[in-house]
Amino acid sequence: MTISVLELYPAHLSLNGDVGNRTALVRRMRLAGLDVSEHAYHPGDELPAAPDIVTIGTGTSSAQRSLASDIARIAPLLTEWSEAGVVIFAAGAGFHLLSASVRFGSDEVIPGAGVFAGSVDASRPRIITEAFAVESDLGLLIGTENHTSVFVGRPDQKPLGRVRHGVGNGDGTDGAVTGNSFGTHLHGPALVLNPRLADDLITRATSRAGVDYVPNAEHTSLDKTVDLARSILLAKVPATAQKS
Amino acid sequence: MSKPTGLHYVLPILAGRVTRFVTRLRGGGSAMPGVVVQKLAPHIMRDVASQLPYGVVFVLGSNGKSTTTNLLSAVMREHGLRVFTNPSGANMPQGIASAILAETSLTGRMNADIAILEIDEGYGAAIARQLKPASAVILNLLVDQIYRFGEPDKVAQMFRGIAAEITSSIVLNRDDNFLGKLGSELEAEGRLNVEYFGATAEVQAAAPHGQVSARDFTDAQTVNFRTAVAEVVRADGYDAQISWAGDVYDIRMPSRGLHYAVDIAAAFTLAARNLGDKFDITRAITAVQTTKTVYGRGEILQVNGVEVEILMLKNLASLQLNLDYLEGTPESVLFAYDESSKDPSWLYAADLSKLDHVNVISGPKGAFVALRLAYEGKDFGVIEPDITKAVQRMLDGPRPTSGRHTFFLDYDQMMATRRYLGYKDLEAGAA
Repeated sequence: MTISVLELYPAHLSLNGDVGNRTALVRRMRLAGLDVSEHAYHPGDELPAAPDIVTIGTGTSSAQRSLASDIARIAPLLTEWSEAGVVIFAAGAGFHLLSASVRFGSDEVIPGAGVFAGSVDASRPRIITEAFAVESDLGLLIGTENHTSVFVGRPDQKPLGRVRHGVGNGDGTDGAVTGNSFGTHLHGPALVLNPRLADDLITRATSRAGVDYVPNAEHTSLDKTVDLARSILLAKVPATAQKS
Repeated sequence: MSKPTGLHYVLPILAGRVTRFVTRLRGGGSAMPGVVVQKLAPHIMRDVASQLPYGVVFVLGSNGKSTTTNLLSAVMREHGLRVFTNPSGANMPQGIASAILAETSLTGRMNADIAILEIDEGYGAAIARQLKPASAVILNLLVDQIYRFGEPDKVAQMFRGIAAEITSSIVLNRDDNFLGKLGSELEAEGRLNVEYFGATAEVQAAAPHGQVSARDFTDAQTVNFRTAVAEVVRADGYDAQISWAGDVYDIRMPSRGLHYAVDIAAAFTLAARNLGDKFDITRAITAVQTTKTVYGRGEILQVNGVEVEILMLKNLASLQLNLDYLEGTPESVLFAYDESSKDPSWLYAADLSKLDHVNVISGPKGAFVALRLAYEGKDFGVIEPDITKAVQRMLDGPRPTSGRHTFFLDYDQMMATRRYLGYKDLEAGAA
């Protein structure tokens, strides 16, 4: 049984080394001895077969606009996958494009794929948080956010977590979770810094596929280096935010 | 309206000199003198610049500014011009003001024919309003400093704003996505003379990762074929061939790679634009072949009989191109990453297949480099956050059979490394 990982629009949505999310998932699965195949989908490609895991990353507003028609084309497929339980990890612009709509200006709105219930206003002043920290069910997630947006989700949809430091959705929460689909403003390679989240996504995908994922000593060793990098960002979370 | 020269500049410039003396005594930076003088004499920069017979030239772009400024200055000097230039990296307003004022006489005169200045894109328009540059070159627009600029499209806007302040001519990288489009706009506007440099499609296709330019997604209109004044037709290690006025010339470059060859083509194009009939291609080639690399950009230091090559690690493009043009797998590698590079996410977009290991990792953010290598299953040796200890560790280790250590360094780590290895010439340059 091979676990397939599909990255959407890697040539368009790769502003912040987003391929790192795929790298993290694939590396962890291979260290556990699993067979993994990697795929990429570009605009206009033949529609791909349902993968086990989908990743989609960050990009410029012009890149997002240029993807509008292709997003509309694959929207039914993506919502079908999401509803069926395919694991989706969407960061930054990728998260926005999988919501219901993205607003770039007072009279410019493009429809999203509708995986996440909620709309994005991407015409706000830029927010950059080097040590963006989110309290989640999977512990403290840490990374960087760099976007110009506010996300308003449907009240019954769970966010990924509560923001400890930074802005996220704009209302004290960050991201959205529906079934096995995760959206977040933790940009770029969030999964390389947050192995608990990566392992959770892998476990969801492998259980669906009927495969066991068991981290081993190699993961422990890798995660020691993860902790070194995490600690650099954690030290930048202000003490006032630490207390809350 | 102030006159171009005069006694009214004596006091402001003296004040600046005193400030420089005091800040140096305190070991401080080089920006303060510029602040003081400009407060006392707001038009001094414009007045000093306006006396230069060949005016002011701006060198802009995400990468290669220091290298191209250095090459262009060498070409101009070889043609007999007295060149004023800002110390590499001092490319923001106060640093430039300080550098200019350090070379200005008490009556507001500068002993130079031309000022060739590398300029930070974020401050370019403001500096251009002061200095009124006659010409400029824009080398490239790469994914760079996302932490500062948000997205490359913003930088394209900045270049547009700077171009609007240029008075006579602009030289652009024909093959760059954003700059090709800027060229079309400027040609349509018709105010500036627009010329291009570039590399043949074959040379670009042969480069492992091309020029790593940022992509412009706004519209897919193809730019018609354009002639490049200087065009790279071969880039192989230290050897390049550049096509110029119908002939192809061999050039042995001070450093390796397509990016270096393209910077040379840019320097030739801009030099010819400024010198007109006086431009002599053989002199230009001599200048390039005899110039030294800018410190830290492919520079090779001699340390106790071993070579230390320093490659700058600024963004994805600089790391990738420096990796792509290494001669084989480097044997002994130091990799340092510091706080000035705010967001190391881009490391995951780099193709590190040229490295099979790193010996020592350093810098305050070295753990991010270690993690990148760990996800690739590559040995990263030890993490020694203190750069001088890390450098010493490399020197104390086994002597590489190639006789060369390869250091990938961030700007701050590069400065600290050079100082530690006894190369203290940098301090002399900055005012």
